[in-house]
Order: sequence, then C-alpha cells, then structure tokens
Amino acid sequence: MRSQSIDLMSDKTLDQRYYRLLLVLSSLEPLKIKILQVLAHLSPNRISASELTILLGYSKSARTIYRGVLEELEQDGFIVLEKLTPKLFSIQIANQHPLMNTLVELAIEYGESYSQQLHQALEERKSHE
Amino acid sequence: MNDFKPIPTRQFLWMTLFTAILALALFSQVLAEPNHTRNDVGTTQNTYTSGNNLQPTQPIEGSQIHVTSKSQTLRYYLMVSLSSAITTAIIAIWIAFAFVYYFNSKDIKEFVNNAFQLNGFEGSFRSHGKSMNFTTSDQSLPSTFVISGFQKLRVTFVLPLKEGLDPLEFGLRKEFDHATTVCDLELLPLKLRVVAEYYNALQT
Repeated sequence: MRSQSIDLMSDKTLDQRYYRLLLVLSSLEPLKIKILQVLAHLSPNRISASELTILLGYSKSARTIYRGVLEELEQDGFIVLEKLTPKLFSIQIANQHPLMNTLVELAIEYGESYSQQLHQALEERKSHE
Repeated sequence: MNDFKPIPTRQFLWMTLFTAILALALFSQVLAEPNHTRNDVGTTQNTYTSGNNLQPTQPIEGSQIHVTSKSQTLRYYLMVSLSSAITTAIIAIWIAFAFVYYFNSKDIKEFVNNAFQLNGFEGSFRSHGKSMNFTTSDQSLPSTFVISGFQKLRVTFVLPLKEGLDPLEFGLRKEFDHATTVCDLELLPLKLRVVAEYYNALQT
C-alpha cells in the first residue's frame, strides 16, 4: 500500500523530497540525526528515553539526550514527546511531518534489518530487566 | 569545522565591573575604619553591659592616644599598594577580554559572511545577541537572524511565509506569521543551504 502511494508520486516530487530530507538532516547535529534514525526505524513504536539512550550506544545513566536535544526536536516537529513525569516520557517520530514521513517510508522500505536489530536489542533489554 | 570559543556576554562585563567595585568598596571600608582612641573603649564602639569587669571605670585622663603616624603611613602604603594591585588585575582582565572578544568576533564575522555569500545571500554579522538583516542577492525577501548563546553559539533565523508553501517541508518551524529555524553556529553553512532552498520555493 505504502509502495503504491510512492509510485503515484511523480519522480521529480519524490526526488525533491529526498533532496530536502538530505539537506535538513545534514544541517542537524550528529546526535539529532542518530535519534531520528533510530526512531524512524522503530516507527510507529514508542520508546522510553532510557531505551533510546541505550539504542544510541550510551550507558543507561547517560544524560546526553536530556540536555535540550529532545525538546528541540519536538519544537521542530520531528518527534512527539509524551511526558508522563518530568523524567519519564515516551518518544515517537512524528509521522505527520512531511520530512519524517519520508524518512519513515525509506526506513520501512530499505531498513528492515536495522529495524529488526533495534527491536531485538529492545527485547533483550526487557528480558534482562 | 570551525571551533568557536564562546563570546563573553555583556553580563560578563557587568559582573566583572560589579565584582571589582564590590572588592574595592569592601577593601576601602576596612581601611577607612576610624582610628580608635583609648577613650573609645567602652563608649561609642563597644557598649558593654553593666557589671562587665572589662569596662574601664574611667578614661585615662589627658591621654587622647591616637594611632601613631608610623601606623598611619603603613596603612596608607598598604592601601595604595593593594589598590594598585587590584586595579592592575582588573585592567589585565579587561585587556585579555578585549583581545579574545576582538579576535573571536573577527573569526565569526568572516565565517558568517562567507557562509551567507556562498549561499547567495547578502548579510553580515555585526553584533552578538542582536537581530541582523539579510536578503537574497537581488535584495528581495528581507529576513533576520540572531547569533546568541554563551557556551554554545546558536543562530536563529526568522523567515517570511508564503501561502501554499509549508515550511515544515523544509524542516523549518511554523510560527504565527513567520517561519523560524535554529542551528549551531558550526552548522550555519548547511542550514543556510536549507534556507536557500526555502527561498527558491518562496520566489517561484
């Protein structure tokens, strides 16, 4: 269904979207790119901040992603944050955002193995707990 | 990639000035304490409770014993030398600050101006923390940008909107009557590429 919708778009529009996505991603800080990459491959699932921290390769107690990075991504409309408490929140990529939608489409289309790796890492973490 | 040092802000200047004045004021106060005489004991400066054995029964008559002229001279020299030391330290800090500020601003100005020029914009960096204008090379679509921050310098762009054009498609934030975007100063050339793409769409 998704590939059909892609087919309907003209090649030029699609190329333009990919080009814009490339430009926008390259103008972001490396940590933000990594976060979007992980979230796009896990879409439509939500993950917690600690899970994201581990999937990014940091230790569980690392505060790297809490230093305003997630808030900025939310302000840009790239991700959706649902704060349950000030320190506990779920994160999901914003599928409604045109660029993030394109990124998710690409991740679904071509990033299956990476997506599986991420899901596996999450399951292993849950089983350890 | 350029590694910019943070620009000391106006607050830094005020804090330095305030600290210096406070230090001088406190020091002056210490030095300016009145010279006590023997008569002062138990009268003006120290009010003893009645029955205190330390209270003198009567002042020593005819002996208005002031601090000696030798002590006065010593106090004077101490005051002058310490004041000079503090003033020199403050001047040194200000000169160092001025050098850092000048060379840092020069680097940033060159970097920002080059970035604008390379992406087909006309704009120049003048002052940290202030809103500055930039336009396309044909002087159309005037917009503003601000460079702010202390530890980490950030650039904020305020861009016009056009009906039917969604700024979200360019990774920009949509506000009430304008679009904005923020980036680290190091990423300015790349962000300007995005802005240039948005401007192309605005002009078509």
